[in-house]
Amino acid sequence: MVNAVNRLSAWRIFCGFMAACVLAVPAASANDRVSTDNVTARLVVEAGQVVPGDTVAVMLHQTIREHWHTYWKNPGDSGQETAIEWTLPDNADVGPIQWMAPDRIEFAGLVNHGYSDQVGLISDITVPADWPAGTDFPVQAEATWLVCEKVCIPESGRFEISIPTGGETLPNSGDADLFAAVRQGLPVESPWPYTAAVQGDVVTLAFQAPGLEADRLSDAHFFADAWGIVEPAAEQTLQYDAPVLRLTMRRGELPVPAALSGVLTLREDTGGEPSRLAFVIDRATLTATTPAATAMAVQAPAAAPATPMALPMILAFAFLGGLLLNLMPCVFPVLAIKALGLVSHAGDSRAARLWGGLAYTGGVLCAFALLGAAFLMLRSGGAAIGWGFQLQDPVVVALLAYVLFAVGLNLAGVFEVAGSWTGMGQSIAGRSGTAGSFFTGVLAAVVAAPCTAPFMAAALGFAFTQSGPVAMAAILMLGAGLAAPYLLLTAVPAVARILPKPGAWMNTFKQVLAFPMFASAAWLIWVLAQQADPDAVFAALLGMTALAFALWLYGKGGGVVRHALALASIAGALWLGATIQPADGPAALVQSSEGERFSQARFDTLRAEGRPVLVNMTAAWCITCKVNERVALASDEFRNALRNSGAAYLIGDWTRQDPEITALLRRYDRAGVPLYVLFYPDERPPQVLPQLLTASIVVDALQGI
Amino acid sequence: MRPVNRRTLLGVAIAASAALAFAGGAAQAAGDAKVGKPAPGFTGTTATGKPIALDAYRGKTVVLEWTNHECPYVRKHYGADNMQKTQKSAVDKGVVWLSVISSAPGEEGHVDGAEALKIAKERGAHPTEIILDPEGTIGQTYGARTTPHMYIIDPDGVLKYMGGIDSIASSRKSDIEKATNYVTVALNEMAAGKPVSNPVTRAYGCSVKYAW
Repeated sequence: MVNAVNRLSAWRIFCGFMAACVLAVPAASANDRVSTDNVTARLVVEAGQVVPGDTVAVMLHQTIREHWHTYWKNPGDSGQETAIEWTLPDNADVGPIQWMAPDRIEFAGLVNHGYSDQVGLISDITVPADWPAGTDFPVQAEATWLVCEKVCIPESGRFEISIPTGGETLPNSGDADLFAAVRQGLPVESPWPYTAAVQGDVVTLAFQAPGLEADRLSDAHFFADAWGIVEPAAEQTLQYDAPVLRLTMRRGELPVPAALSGVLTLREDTGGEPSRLAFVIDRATLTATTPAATAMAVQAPAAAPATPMALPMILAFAFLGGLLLNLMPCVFPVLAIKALGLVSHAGDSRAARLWGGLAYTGGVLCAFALLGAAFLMLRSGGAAIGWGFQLQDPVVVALLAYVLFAVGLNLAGVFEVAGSWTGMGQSIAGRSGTAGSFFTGVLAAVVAAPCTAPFMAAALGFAFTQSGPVAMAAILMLGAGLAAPYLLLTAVPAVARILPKPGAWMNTFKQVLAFPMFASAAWLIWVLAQQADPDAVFAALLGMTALAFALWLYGKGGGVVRHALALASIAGALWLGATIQPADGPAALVQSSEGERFSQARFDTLRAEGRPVLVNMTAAWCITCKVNERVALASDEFRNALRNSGAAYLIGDWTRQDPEITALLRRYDRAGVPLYVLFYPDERPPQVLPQLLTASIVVDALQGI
Repeated sequence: MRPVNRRTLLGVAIAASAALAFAGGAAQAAGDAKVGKPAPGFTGTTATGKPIALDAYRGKTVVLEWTNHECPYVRKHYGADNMQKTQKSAVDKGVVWLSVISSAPGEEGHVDGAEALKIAKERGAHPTEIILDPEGTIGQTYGARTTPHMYIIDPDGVLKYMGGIDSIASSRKSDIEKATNYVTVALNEMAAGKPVSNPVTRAYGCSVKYAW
């Protein structure tokens, strides 16, 4: 058997030593040991005495007959995991089994995951705080395990022990080494950041692991947490292409899950005794790589095959999406500012206007490039994010509210920017300087993000599942599309002639534009309220007050004291913004009486029951989503059609990060919300509804079930 | 929605054929059985010594059950009369039930025809036929890993289900009542013209005792 070879010799020596100890020390209390034909099992407590309210480690320790084995939590091709059922006094708590890293056990072409020789399964038990100190704490456990060599025997044992309690924690001197040795075998956090990807039938785990010596690594194996994710018997290949350590394996029989969890083991030869490393892989988001259709095509009929796009198509759609962004409510106030700027410079030379247009374009592109870089960095770190991710962080939302509020104050005339580069006091909108144009470009890009235009969805969604350069190219094209109309206006001389003449009306118009800015800031505070608690909302509003104070001081001009006070206020505002913490738990946006909150588990249950399901993926900061909800999803026609169709209505709220929702979006090649999908009870592929909904579109779809 | 033009269609075609080629190449490693695809054909010998071919059952629903009478998990389901009931309700509705024994000579559960028939009679089983597969050919083709491991093929020869007998992986008879019998559910859904709600599940049990 291969498994015998896999054990460390140090461990083996230790096993022998322990076996001797176990034989020598009589049982501490009745029923702490069960011997079957193939396994000698003990229930061992780490502490000799426990303080009520504390947690104590309890171990089921198995000494397994030579050549036989028991199983890990995912037993592999066959077999069954060891299970423990605890009976404890009221209010006591017991945690899950902490599984040691398993071995790969091969037998006649099948592979199991389990343990040979011996294994310790530790669980943490919490003694209730109101337990009377001095009274023994009773623990009962019913353990069942399957033990196999060639044939398999289900075995079980009943254990009953009592743990002394008192005013101080006392060690159980006899078993300290055993606990230490078992803990040595637990997988630890990976020292290397990792990502996971699936392409067709191949799953890849990639680690950023600089400075390894490839020929010192061997026996790498990934054990997936659950059955059906990775094929246990298929060979896994380790490649080191500095600094990336890559393990490829074959996909299991189930549809591709949202994330990959399990344990990676490998051996590192450090000159002396080779040491076995075991790292926890915790919910590495599974990214579908090119061709995106491959992963989907093999999946159950639940998923529609995605259409792969050629690079020129992606870029064309991204550009088109950017153009459309100009019409979106988020960007509109910024464009109004730009229009004003154009009017005030109607008399400038053509070259000067074109220069302004180019600066604006530069600002847009820089902002998109920064956003894209942040996105790609986070993604390579394994974060489950999509487009709009920047608005999932309440601190970013608060800072954005600050910026819009400050721009509003500027337009309203509270202060003017005395830029050293222009030499004169002017508002941002009226600034002739290159810097002013650049800044408005940045602003337009930043506020544009929440409006995922319909054309963007197809192109960006696909682009974001691609390699870094492709995703970046698509993001930049989006920016180019956003900047193009204004750039065109500055470049065409005829425009100057049709524009109204500059005059006093401009000052009034400029002040009017302050109010859409304030409205945008108000909206961002509403978004913030969905993401964080009331304290955070208060902190943000207080921060805005401090900011207003600072800008007002600044506007009055004057001495060092005033400027120092203004700076202090701004620092205070920023500090308040930075204190904001995201609230725990899911966002509280779902209020529809018809819908229920989306979760993958609920979705799977409904699908298993054969019910049609309408999925709506939304977010508080997504304006398109909100418009659809008002126009189409709040109508009586929709409610009636929903009721008549018998479809379940699941609403997923992406206002905060949610890996399950990100996974579903990705399955439909979307980088962001909104997404509306109707799943039929039969084998028809699910229907993706348009991103701009009308009541009749949804009603027609529901009637087609 | 996304406009479709020639270029995208071409893209889809290329990607789809690449996907198929890839899936086809990789499937060899763990059996050719894929839900939604034609079930791999096979020929073999029954316990009574007759030749048997899967093709002969075209037009009927076929259940394949991998079994090993000495395996505790098989004993759980036969001992509680669960497997027999599942077989009977299927066979009564015209379903063909084929029990397959892939234990190699000298391994647990290996039997000759006479013994296989005797065991079936003793435990009151109702298979349409028992297939002896001591070489493990049929088992390897389907990627059968455990006893029991269940497969359902529809009248058109398409594989509709592969996986466990039920939803609770244990050797305790008392769990049967609490578990969902995936085979019965799938057969009922197929009879009602509905898609199988859980087409692939974890098969649990002893490993199939192939020669090695």
